[in-house]
Amino acid sequence: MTAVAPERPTIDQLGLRPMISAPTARGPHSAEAETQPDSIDGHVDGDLLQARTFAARHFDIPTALARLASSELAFGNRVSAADAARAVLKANSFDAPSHFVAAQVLASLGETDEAETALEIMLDAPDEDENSKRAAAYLAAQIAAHQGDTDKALRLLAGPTGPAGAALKGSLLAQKGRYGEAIRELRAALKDVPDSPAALSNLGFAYAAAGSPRKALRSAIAAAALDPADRTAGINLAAIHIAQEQPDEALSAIDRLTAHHPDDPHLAFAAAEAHHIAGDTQAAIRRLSRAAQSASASNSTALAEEIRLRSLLLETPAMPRTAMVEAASAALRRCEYRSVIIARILASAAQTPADLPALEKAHRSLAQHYDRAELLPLKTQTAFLQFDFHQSQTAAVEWARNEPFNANAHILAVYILALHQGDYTQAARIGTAGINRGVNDPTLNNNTAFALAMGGHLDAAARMLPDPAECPAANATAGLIETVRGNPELGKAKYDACAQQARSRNDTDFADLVGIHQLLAEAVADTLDRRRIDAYNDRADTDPRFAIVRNAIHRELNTHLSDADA
Amino acid sequence: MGNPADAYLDQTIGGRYKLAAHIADGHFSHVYKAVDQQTGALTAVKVLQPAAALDPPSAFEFQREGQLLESLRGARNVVVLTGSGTSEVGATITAGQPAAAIPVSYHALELADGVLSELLAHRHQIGWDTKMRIFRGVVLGIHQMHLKKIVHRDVKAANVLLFDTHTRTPTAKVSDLGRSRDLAQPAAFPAGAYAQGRGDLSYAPPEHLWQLGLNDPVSLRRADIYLLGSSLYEIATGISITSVTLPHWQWHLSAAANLSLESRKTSFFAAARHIAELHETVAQPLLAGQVAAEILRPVASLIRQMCHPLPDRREHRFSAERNHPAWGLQWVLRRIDIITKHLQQRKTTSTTTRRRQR
Repeated sequence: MTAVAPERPTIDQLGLRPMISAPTARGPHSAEAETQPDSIDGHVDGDLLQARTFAARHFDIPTALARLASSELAFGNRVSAADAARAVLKANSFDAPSHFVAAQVLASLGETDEAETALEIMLDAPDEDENSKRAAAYLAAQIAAHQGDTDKALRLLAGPTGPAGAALKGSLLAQKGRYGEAIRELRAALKDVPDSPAALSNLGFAYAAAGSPRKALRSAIAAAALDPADRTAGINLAAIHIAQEQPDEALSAIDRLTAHHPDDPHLAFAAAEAHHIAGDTQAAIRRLSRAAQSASASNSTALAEEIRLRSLLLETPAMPRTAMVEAASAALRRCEYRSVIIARILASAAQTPADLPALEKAHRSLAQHYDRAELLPLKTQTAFLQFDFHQSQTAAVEWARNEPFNANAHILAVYILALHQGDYTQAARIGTAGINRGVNDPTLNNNTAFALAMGGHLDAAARMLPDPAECPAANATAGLIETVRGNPELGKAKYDACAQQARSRNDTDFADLVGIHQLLAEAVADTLDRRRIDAYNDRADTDPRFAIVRNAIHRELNTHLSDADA
Repeated sequence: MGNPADAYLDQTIGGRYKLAAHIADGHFSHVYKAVDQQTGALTAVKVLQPAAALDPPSAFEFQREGQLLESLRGARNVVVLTGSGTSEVGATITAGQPAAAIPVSYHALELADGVLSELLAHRHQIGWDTKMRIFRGVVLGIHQMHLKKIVHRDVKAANVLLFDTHTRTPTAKVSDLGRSRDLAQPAAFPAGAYAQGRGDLSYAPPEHLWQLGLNDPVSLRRADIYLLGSSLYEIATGISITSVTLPHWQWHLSAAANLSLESRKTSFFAAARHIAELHETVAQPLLAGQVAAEILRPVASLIRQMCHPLPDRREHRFSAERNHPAWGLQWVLRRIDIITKHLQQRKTTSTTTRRRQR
């Protein structure tokens, strides 16, 4: 027996992430700092004038135009810089370094399509030397990576690359969940530039995700020491400490980072979460109230609402699920659906079809402003509540791959894979990998035990079972193990105990779910009286949590029929 | 009104130099081809723009450039100053207004036959032996300046003049000393003015983009070494190395402005490693397609060292003594000589082979 989501929403701010090394391609708003005026008292600076005069004299020579593009950008003249870069691409002759600079200027200005076209010309040029093509492939991969096209970026980096290319490739492989390959690439990059903070931090991430905590910690400490001001490196170090149950060390890492970014509210969130994990809720609330002051100074409604909701969740540990849905929905409305953090809290609290409208509205609104990857929790839960288990499963598995340290992602991926697809092997693999890399959540242990038991690995499942005091569903999973082992009486006793505990908490929904899961156990053991399924038909027609179990029961029964036919 | 530089045409400056044609623009100045009426020789005259004359730092830099060029007289690879002063000229600055007498500061300089940046517009037509000789001239000019305790701070192809010597290779001389600094004199500007550098920062050493440039002689000389390495990169590729390895330097500059000095240093040292990665991943591959195969390795190695993002890694690696100011840039000149010799040897070998084949 498993639960669709953990008992209460978790705050997954302190998540490990691979960091993309300092970007070469930036969006349209990032290179806009106009650092210098191009004129004093109406006189254009001599340097810029020189570049303009030179380009005017050599209007068809790529070098002159590329130099002008760089200079115009240097003086903050974005439109002129883009025009000069375009002129390089239109020039009659081809010159690889000029073409590269033009592509780089266009990428800086957010004109990524044109930059990509320029780089494609370089990559396709028949007479162009392989070295220049390598440089072009790296820049093109940077652009693809920033546009979220990881596959294309990896294709571009398929050949030999320099250390920055290997570091980028390593971070992309880590994002894709290919940790072994990522470790190989990152170690290759570190051979050339041994003290690259980005490569070291990504290596720490990859080691942690691959289940090598000691190596992960060593790399993360080295990365954070090289660049104590880097947020991703610092947060990754804190998260690795958390994964290794070292909340005090995590707090020290966050405090060191806070010294460099004293007004960063997200670091306050991370500190609050570390305090929360360490069991000091009051300290967590104090950190959040300090962050609230920064939020009011920054005049950000979304930030203020995030802090308010986080504080509320910490202050009210026994808040009913429906109240959480209501609070998160109201917070989203107040900040005009501009907070993905609140939306993710809503997603983890929304478990019944009644919550679907609020979730759909949040998903629709946020899709305009956020990356698809950030919205995977919403997609998983929305599809689930719409009875679209296939979509939900795909999103959950992708979410777990993208966020290898996120407990909710793993819990859902294991649960849906096992029940919807009946792929117990993959479900157990995802769950075990999460546990091995330090995702500490009894519900994940329970779900993984469920998948193992359904797959016939009863002893492994029994070893994986969490303490029923920490996870109420553990008794039901123990019931499954006993039923499948051929101890129906003992199994029934475990299920009854679990349902009884739920009723004593007035959680009749959970008690009913225990009931239908007991039928599933009997179906697996081939001892089910089919007429008993009908008792749940009404619930299964209206509630996806029951529907997915009913589907699983039918699948098990069909399997037995096929076996009998055979 | 057309080009404001045309306002001075046909005027005689300093009672001697008749301005014949506007040929270029420097930092807040116009440069003319002029006739020295005393000798009949052609010369170049650099005139401070009227608006810049009212800007004390620009006026000061112009005046100081004259003093520095005077003190560098005899340095063979630095442009020669033949006269300097302030002169009243009559010019119509605003259309329709009568001509007015305006005091202008000027420098008379030897007239060059070309500028390196112009030559590089056709760089594929120039052999590497010529390119290396020109680069040697540039390094020699900066070496001569360093020996006189002067740093240039603005070395790039556009500030290198070429003089025809009726041989295959023109002589290169460094010019435009507007941003130069005499290390024997107290700093003219507050320390902050040296932290970032000025002008076109797409040529700047990385430490300037984190506002970490220092005003001490060692740091200033190291910045010149970066700019020289960048010039070699420009000779090879036509573009500056900073524009390749630090394409988002404006972003770093504006980000650095919000950081404390300590955080700026930390951020710079971390970024330096990434810049080193980009050297290998982007700058060196682009270079490889442009340099003659037989000298690629030493040229790439020289650029890698001279343009190292960390200033203390730009100097002679094995002998601290060679980095003493009294040695100037001899170690760079020596490396160039080895590269040039390598080229000559290859040339001789291939000629001999051809003869034998015949």
